[in-house]
Amino acid sequence: MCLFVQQTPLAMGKGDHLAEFEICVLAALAHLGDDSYGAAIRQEIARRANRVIAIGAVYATLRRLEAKGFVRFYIEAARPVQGGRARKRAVLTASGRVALKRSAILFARLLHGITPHNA
Amino acid sequence: MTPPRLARALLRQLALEDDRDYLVGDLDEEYAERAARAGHRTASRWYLQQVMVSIPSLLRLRFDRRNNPRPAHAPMLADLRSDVRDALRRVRRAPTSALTIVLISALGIGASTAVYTVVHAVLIAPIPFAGSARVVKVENRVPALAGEASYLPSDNWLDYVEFKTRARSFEALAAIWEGGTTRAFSLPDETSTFPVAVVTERLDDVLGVRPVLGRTFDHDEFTAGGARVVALTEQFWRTRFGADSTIIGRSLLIADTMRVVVAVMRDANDYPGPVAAWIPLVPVEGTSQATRGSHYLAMFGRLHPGVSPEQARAEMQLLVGQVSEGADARARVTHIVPLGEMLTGPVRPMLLLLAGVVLVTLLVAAGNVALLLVTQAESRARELAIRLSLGSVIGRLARKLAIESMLLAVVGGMLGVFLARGLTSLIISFYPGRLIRSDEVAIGPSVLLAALGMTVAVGFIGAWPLLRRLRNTDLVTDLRHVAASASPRALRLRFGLVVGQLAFAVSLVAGGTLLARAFVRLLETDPGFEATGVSYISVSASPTKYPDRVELQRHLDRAEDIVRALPGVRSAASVSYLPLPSRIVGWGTHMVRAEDVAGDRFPIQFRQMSPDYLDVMEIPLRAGRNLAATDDASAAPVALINETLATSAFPDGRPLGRAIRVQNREYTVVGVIGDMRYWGLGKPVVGEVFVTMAQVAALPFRTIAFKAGGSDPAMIATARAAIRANEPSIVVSSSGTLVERLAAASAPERFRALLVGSLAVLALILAGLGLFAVSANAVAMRVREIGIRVALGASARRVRLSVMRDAVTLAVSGTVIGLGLGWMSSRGLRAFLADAPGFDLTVCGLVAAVFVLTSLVAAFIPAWRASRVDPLTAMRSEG
Repeated sequence: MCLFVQQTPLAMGKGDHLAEFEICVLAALAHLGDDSYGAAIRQEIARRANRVIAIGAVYATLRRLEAKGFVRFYIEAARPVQGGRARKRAVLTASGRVALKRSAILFARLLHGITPHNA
Repeated sequence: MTPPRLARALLRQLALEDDRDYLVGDLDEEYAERAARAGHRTASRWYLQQVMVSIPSLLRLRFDRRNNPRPAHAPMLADLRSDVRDALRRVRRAPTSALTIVLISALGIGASTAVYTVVHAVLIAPIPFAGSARVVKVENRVPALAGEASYLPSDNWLDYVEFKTRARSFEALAAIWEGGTTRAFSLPDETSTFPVAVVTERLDDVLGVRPVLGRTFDHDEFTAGGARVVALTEQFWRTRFGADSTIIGRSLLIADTMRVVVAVMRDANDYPGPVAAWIPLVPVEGTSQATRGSHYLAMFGRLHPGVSPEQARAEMQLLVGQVSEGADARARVTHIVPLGEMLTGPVRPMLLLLAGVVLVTLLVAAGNVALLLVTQAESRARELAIRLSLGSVIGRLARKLAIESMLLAVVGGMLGVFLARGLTSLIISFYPGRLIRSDEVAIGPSVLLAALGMTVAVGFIGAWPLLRRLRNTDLVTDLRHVAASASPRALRLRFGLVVGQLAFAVSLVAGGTLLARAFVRLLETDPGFEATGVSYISVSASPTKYPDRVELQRHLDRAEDIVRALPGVRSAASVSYLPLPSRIVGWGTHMVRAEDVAGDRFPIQFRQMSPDYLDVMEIPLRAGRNLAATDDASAAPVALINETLATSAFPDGRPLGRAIRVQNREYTVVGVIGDMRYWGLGKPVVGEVFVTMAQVAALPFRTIAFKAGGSDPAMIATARAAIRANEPSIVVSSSGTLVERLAAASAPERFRALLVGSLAVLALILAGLGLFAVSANAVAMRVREIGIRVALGASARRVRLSVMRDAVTLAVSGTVIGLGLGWMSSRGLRAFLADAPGFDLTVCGLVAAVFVLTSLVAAFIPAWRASRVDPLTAMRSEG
């Protein structure tokens, strides 16, 4: 891990900047793995953050992450059930994974020693 | 139970088009779950809340997209890298087809770049003189002779002196002794001779050429008593003197006169002509040089800024009327020809033809690249469909395909530029004669830019059918059809490409055939003399060293005698000008019938010859007698005329014994000889009058034609050496054989036919390749169908026939369209190549036959392969 940190310095370029909600979405994608479509992502973030998450915000953020090359979409075939519809699934790209990892390291370092109690 | 309709519609409106269905679908799905769990009302409230909190994010996304459609640049570059990587991977997987595409683009781009390089240097790039746009040639042409040649020395010394002082349009007016460039000189340790330009004062000012070394000529050096000096041209100084800077002040022997080198002129090689040196023109008082009798000067002027060529023309025309003496001279018509036009005018049609032909070849090559790529695209239809269904954005895919095509084109383009370097020198070396400005031909920035443009064009034309295919991708059909058969639309596109290529190739072949026929017809033209076995050497003597005309004449006669006395020489004769000159020298004149009071005038070429000339050249004597040695200065003046002149000047058919008047002297016509093509094989016959050397004022030069056994080059060398040894003051300026002269006279036509012919063959091969690719691909696509046919009992012959029939259909439609194009292009050809022949049925038939044959050859292998299809394998191979 140390080696990895040296290779990818924390100083981020302007284009690499991740907003808070973008980190949330990346994290949700990492947690969800294969089952990552709009509604699932919304629920995952809402459950973990315990707050109201707008489906529009999820889609808008996914689009931004796509533009940055962190996420790509594919259309899943319609599910073989009554009224089953096609879903648009999002997956992390390799660079998306790197970006998430970087954020995790950044926050781990920044927040080292800070707990909800002493903050 | 449905979600609130209004809120749902609002959400649909706000969401991006691509996301709309999925976003609303996701929300509807959750709504249904909630409604089932907590009731319709709670679910609806939740739905409304979701829509409300979604509005800001969706609006901002839309706003961002509109203002900055592609916000992140770094990923775009990364995409580009990955696209290039993908393209390279594909190339590695199918190296043969990639190599074919690269080679075809290299050929197309290389040929076009080479031609553009030449066209640019010769026609487009400005002439490297300061203010060259203002440099003009002033020609006062005699109307009756205007059709004959436009490049005639047009002025005499006294007129020139008047023009120089009176013309107000020019900053400077200077002249060159046109015939003077044939006045050669030799270096002490060399046997070859070099042409010299004999120039008047201020030619350097007119041309804007400054010396690299030394100074320009002084005023005194243009007078009879002045120092004898010479200025070398830069190229000559560099090649012959190794750019020796101590050359200034050295003495050189030039045509019997010792001259001091005072300057090296900055490279003026093509302007005024490919000469080695300039010497001042000092007209010899008392000779025709210093009178109005001899028109030997070509005038050049530098216009004052703001003076238009038309204004200068009007002024000069007026001066011609005021200054000239004699009706002939006053009737001259002034032409002002800008220097650029004068230099490039003669080569322009040929280069434009070249450019047009090469453009068609480039189109055929690009069409071929497109065809190969689109054939690949069909087999990639499924891959494209899968990519699209996996969520690839059409734009990205399109870029990927464009990059693939562009990558191949770029590699082809780079190869092409290398190829162009070789092709450029090939064009120049094959060009008939010396191509003007050819030493300026180089692959420079503008050429590279053009090559880049062509590369992008080829890349784009290559990618275009693929992009169209992509736009028309029908996911369902493409996914289901496992590359089993091409869609009718794709087939149409491919067939369109093949037919288009064939059509262009046919029009090229048709053009090439026409030009080849013109060339053959030219070779079949009877020049009017027998060239085989005749060699010639041109000799000159200095009139200053032999001021006595009779002495000069005898001196040159001795050269003829030396040649005649050589062992192996069967006959020898002298003439003032040999037919088929490489450049136009001498001025035509007029002949009048002496008894005709009205004075009907006939344009003629006036020649002096020795009596054996007819014998050496095998020119037939049609009536009367030949000239004889006894027709000398003391005898009555007599002349021979050619048949054309005899019929036009003596319509009663009785020219013998009649008197004619040429240059104020009366001659009796004693014989009529056969016509010769003097100016060129394709040129009309002009009237000619021949008299003996002894009966006119002696010329300081002549050409000795002789027939000898043994090899021509050896005989010529022997003759040159013999003259040098026996008469060292006689300069041999040029030599060769009449066969060479004939070949040189038809060289432009040969070059044209060869050029268009070879490019036509290239286009034919490309079109054949295209036909082959399509046939092979069609067979591959039809394997299953063919398998079924074979299983149902179709014979191998039937299968072969069906494939061949398709190919021939394509070839026939391409040929028909191509012949139409060819017919049109032959009309275009006529517009700027006057001697281009018309389009006829023989050519049509020939070209059609060639193409049907090509198509049969191209389709044979695929057809044969089709007939070997094993039904079992064919059925099994299809998934």
